[in-house]
Amino acid sequence: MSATSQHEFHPDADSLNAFAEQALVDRERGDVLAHLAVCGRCRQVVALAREAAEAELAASPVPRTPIRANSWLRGWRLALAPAAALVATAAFAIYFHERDAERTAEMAKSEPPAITQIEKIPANPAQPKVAPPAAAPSAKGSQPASSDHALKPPLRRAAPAAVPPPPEAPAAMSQLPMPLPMPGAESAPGAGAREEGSVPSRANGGEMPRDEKSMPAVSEFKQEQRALESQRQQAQTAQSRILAAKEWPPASEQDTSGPPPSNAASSVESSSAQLEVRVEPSPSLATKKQLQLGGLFSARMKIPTRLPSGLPAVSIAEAEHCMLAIDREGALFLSQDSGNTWEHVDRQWTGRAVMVRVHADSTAASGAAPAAQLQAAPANPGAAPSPPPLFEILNDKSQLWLSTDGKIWLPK
Amino acid sequence: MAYLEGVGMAPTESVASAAGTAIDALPPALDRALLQELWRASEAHTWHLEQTECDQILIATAAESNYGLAKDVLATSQQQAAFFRGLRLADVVLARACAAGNERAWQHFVAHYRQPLVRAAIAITGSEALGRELADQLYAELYGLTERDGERRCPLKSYRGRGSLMGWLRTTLAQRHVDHHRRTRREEPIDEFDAPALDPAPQTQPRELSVLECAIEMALRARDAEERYLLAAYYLDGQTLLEIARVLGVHEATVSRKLRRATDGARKQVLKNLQSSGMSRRAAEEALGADPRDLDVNLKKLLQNSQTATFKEQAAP
Repeated sequence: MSATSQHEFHPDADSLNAFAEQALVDRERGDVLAHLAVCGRCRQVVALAREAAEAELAASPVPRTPIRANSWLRGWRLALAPAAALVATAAFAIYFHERDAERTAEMAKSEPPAITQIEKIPANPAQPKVAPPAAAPSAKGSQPASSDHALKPPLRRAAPAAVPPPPEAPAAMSQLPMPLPMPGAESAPGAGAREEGSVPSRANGGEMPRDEKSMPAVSEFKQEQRALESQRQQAQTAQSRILAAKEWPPASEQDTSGPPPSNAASSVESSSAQLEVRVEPSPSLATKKQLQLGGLFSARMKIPTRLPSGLPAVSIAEAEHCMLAIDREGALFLSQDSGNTWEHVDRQWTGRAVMVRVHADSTAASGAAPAAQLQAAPANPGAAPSPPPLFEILNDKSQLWLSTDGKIWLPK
Repeated sequence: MAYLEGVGMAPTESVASAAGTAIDALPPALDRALLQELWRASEAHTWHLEQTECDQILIATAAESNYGLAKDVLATSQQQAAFFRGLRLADVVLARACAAGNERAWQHFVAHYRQPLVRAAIAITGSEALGRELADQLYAELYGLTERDGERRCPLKSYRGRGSLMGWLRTTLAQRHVDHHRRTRREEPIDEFDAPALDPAPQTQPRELSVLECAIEMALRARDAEERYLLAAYYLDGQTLLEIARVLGVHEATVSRKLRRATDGARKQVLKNLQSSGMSRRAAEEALGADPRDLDVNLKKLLQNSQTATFKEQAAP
């Protein structure tokens, strides 16, 4: 041991090393610590030895784990977490997208059920009351109404909102257009054109060829197609009906027939056989007067459409994407694309046109239609030919003019 | 070994002679089964040491310290076993065998400790050249090249197996390096010596300063060994908390907490000493705010002026 330091005695290397390695008993440790407290040389020795030990530990090679055969799988483990997060995100996105789509569809479907009451009223009180030929409340709507009403009362109870048809309905009226089954609606929709505010874009919704009963396959196919079409159009018109309600025009000079629904602002669908009065939850007595029925014809009674003349339309009729509108000045406009674009029709009638409407029973009117126009209708040899729509214009002198294309008008 | 053979030096001392006369004074109470167990635990058979040689080394080691008991106390078999289990048997047997000049032991030592010894020396000195020189010096010293009174002196004899042999080697290297540094530092010329500026007149009264010096000295002397060690290592040696913590085997935060407690306790003790000397508390606090340059207190001398007689046996030759 060295004696060059300021202290005469120092712990030997074994004691200092044992102290640094915590290998001394308490008594010996206290002695060494007491010496270290006063001996800078030994503190330095201990510190240097400790520093060398740490350097040795740092320089010692770290044992490496052998690379296993399946190490490629271990490498992919790092990518599992983000991949799982990506999959989860995609799953959530798909789920929410589907849910939103379903919700939208449900909203479109639930729009008609929001109508609290569907009443069937005679289309024209002047004519004998007609029983719906297909037991209108039934969603299937394929059964004849005449005899089943008495035999199957539960079917009638299944549609409490519908007014039961009068039992004395003549059998001849079964030839009238059948109401189509409406998904989501308890009652069958009206045939032919509808009143403004119901389904403006539905063209020829209720016009079913009479000979469809003789071709059940074609009839079912068309019914399905029309049902799908009606669903789509209902969703589209739900919003437009809400907007149209804000621009409800004042009561016009149209016919009033049938009892107006009480305590409800209604939109009216009229057809040759029946009218559907949809009772809306915000009733207004003033609007009840606007529920004017057009007899055998259909006409739009609330017309929010703006025509190229800048004047609001007072009467609109629509059939098979062909719309006719009359403005306040009596000018007639024709639209071939459901009202997107309008073209002016030259005046071919006397007086001032006050109303345009579609004759629902085209076959009945076809006899009065010019032969040239009727021949112009395209023939459909594969299916029952659908009669072209027959439009009528009523002037201020109650005179009628007829047309099948809305461009050429002939007096009736 | 190759190095020693290269320089023409080889161990000549036998294990029996290295163990000394203690082998002849074999305590009859030493259990043979215990020796057999110690033989296996020493792993001396891995470098081909005979069991009889190992037994002689173990008996000699036990006789030197009387199994860690006081002299004239006869150790029981349990105390014997406890003594040996407290030792690093493999290192002790190897060190003693090397000190005895066992060639197989030296081969094993060179194979396992030569390079770590060089690396430790380089780490201690901070220089590869100095480190290798230091390691070679110690290696030669370990091999017994130094003689006194015609007898080889091997420092490995002083290894008693309480710590690891490698730790002992590092500590020995550090001792050699520190002692060498302290010797040579006195011989280094002072390149730049700036004469200290003349101190301005102290603002504190000389009497108060003398009272303060006395109070500080008493307060530091009143600290226990651990606190004095912490204060000295941190403030005098400039060691970090982490370095101190590694030496003491505690967490760094523990050192910080103890150090703060030591300084707070020292300050309170100084205040208390000042008040006991007749100062008011306010005057004592004002005295603590005196300029340290006005104080004639050498903390280094104060902290390290305590002689310990515990290590008389470790006196330098």
